[in-house]
Amino acid sequence: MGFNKVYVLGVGGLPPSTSMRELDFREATFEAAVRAYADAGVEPDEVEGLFSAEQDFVEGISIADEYTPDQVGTRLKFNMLVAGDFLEALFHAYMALRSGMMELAVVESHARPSEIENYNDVLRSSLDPHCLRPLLADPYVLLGLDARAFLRSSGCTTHDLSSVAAKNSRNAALSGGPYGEEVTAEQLEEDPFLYEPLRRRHVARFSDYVAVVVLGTEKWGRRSDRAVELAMVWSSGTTSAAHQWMRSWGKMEWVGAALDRVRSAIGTNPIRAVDLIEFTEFSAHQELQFLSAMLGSDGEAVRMLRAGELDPGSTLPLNPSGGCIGNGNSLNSSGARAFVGAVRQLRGEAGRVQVRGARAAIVGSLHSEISDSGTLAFLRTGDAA
Amino acid sequence: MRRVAIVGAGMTDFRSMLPHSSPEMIREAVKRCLDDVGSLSIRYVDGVLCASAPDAFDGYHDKVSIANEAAGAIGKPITRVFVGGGSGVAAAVAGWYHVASGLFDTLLVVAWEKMSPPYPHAQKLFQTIFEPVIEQPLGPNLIWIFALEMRRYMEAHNLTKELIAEVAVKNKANALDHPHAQLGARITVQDVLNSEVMVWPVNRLDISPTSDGAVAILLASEQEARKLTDTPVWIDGVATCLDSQYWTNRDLAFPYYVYLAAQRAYRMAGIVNPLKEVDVWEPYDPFTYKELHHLDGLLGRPGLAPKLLKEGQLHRDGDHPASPSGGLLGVGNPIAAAGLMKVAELYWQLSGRAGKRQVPNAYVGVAQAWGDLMQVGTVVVCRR
Repeated sequence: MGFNKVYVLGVGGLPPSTSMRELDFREATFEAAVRAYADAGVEPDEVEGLFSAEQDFVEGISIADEYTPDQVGTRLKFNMLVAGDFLEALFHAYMALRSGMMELAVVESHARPSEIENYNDVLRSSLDPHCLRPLLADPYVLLGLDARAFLRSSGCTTHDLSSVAAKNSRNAALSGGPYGEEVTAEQLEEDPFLYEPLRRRHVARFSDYVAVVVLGTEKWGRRSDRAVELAMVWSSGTTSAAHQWMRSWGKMEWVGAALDRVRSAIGTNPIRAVDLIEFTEFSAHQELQFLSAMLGSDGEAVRMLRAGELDPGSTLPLNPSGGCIGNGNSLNSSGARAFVGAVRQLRGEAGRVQVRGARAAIVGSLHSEISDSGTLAFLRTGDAA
Repeated sequence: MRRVAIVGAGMTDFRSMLPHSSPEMIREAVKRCLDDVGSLSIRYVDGVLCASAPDAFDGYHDKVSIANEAAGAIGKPITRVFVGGGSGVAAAVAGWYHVASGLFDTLLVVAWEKMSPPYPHAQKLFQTIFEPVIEQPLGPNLIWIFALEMRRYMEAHNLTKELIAEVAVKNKANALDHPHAQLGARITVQDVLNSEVMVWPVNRLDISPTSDGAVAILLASEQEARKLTDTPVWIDGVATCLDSQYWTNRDLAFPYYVYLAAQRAYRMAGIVNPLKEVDVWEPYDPFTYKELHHLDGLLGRPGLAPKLLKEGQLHRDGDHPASPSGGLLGVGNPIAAAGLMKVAELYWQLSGRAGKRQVPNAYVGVAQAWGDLMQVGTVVVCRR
């Protein structure tokens, strides 16, 4: 039995910014959709379905998919809201296209943390109300605990975390990210601890972002020489629940399962096949954690970092866009920013952060800042496809 | 396309205030579902798809974290979907493409809702679904907008309240045979008309209750389904359709979005004449008029459902039985779980396990749910 191949036909997004206050979320979504359709060369009328990634408490509106179809041009079309990161909605769209139920779909996500006055309280309310919420006035403390566990098991130092943050900040200075800056690890080591061992600029600050991505089956992919194949998307489960009791601290166990699925889809070890990785690191240690899980070795990830092999132009550029540290934490849209960045890389349109000859990329996203589950997507183009 | 079957189903009781927490409800529904498939181990299941409507009911942000351990999904892929009241059937739709894509061979679909925490009533939380600039400042109430729609529907087809009340009489009587029903009862049209007027023309007995409850179904690929059961029920058509946010700009007399969703699902399932080819209907009935309104959309013929009701054809022993489960009016309305209950009812009906509710010679069934701001239709077509 054959299943459809899936292609990225077009992407549209507004640049991440510390505040999009000049635009209502509906106006911003409309603008992103217009850009995505123009990029894909398709008309909204041709689209069969919409998948959006939204969360009620982040929107400030319950059941927020109500407000998407008019802006994206999918009124009276198929609709599915996925409560999670953009890549999880992409996972659903990928399956729907692969199954043959539709040929052309869009995936949408927007986040405006600049309009949320109490995001930490929102995030805290994802935790168990009896055991954890009373203990954690600030849920980001969990990031610090996880970082400490990672440092202990991996041999990393806080200086390594500063190196990650400095790399991503410098990359974002080139890509135009709102938190981009020319900074060194030594300078970041002067930052105070925020959630020890995480220093202030080891943790991504917030940014508003919106993106729309147009996906199509082979029928559509053949029409465009800029189409990028979405070879596999896989969303992996958590090791814990709202109470966090069973969590594997310091590790990203979900990556292994997702990597296995990507490996079986592309027939080779994905880490050897890719030219770059984009990942939603909400804090510096998560980037190294993710790479460690990808490589199956804590030590190798740290070695690569220290050797500069994760820098642009080196062996395996990791977050050449600047990641979340350089572009901001756009909540459930963080994966969208990473995904759009990777697509632009594979099309040779990444400007000053272009990875030369990039033909395959992995995009990874966490379900949320403090979650231990996530999603992987494998993209390829040209000969790699 | 890869064929997908329902091979098991289970649910909790639907009650206004269950003593269970949400994880406990989920665990019970999942256990009953797996027990229904010969005490299948959760280890056999490839992943979980869950649905629950507004996060506010549970007071949780990102409430998939409520479900992952309770549903046995630790270490397994789990995502959550919701489209308001349409969530239960939307979950079956999303579950379908999980398996039809070839990425999953077995998938547990679980939906739950716990509406009792916002005591004394969830109505205040429903205000947060309205448009925040224009509508929310008016302090809208869901019953207000449904009253507008009911009034428009009555006007368009010259319907009496007496006729519409018969839906409550029928569904609550059907629910007497449902072991998990909240409001099974033998009532009369006069009881409905004499019940308190909430917002004219809506009386208290025109409305389904608020409920707590959970439902789970197990989906499987054809190959796995043949191993697991002798009576798989195939999901042959799926669709959802979302209309504009601007509900005030639509003619409320006909649910065009339900019509379009149904037409797409029929096309997938190869159904040409639903009135002739469908043996059992589970339309979404949170209000009495909504069963008729939605059936009009599913049948593609405005005003036909009230005629069928008048002729007694929507009764369980009629030619076009609608809500033989007892529907939301009788079994209860824990939002997302209510829609999946309708899909589970199709499974029980088409596999011949509906007990006293059994519709004779049921081969093809349609379940439908509706939600968001009166704008989404979700439909599945099932076959024995």
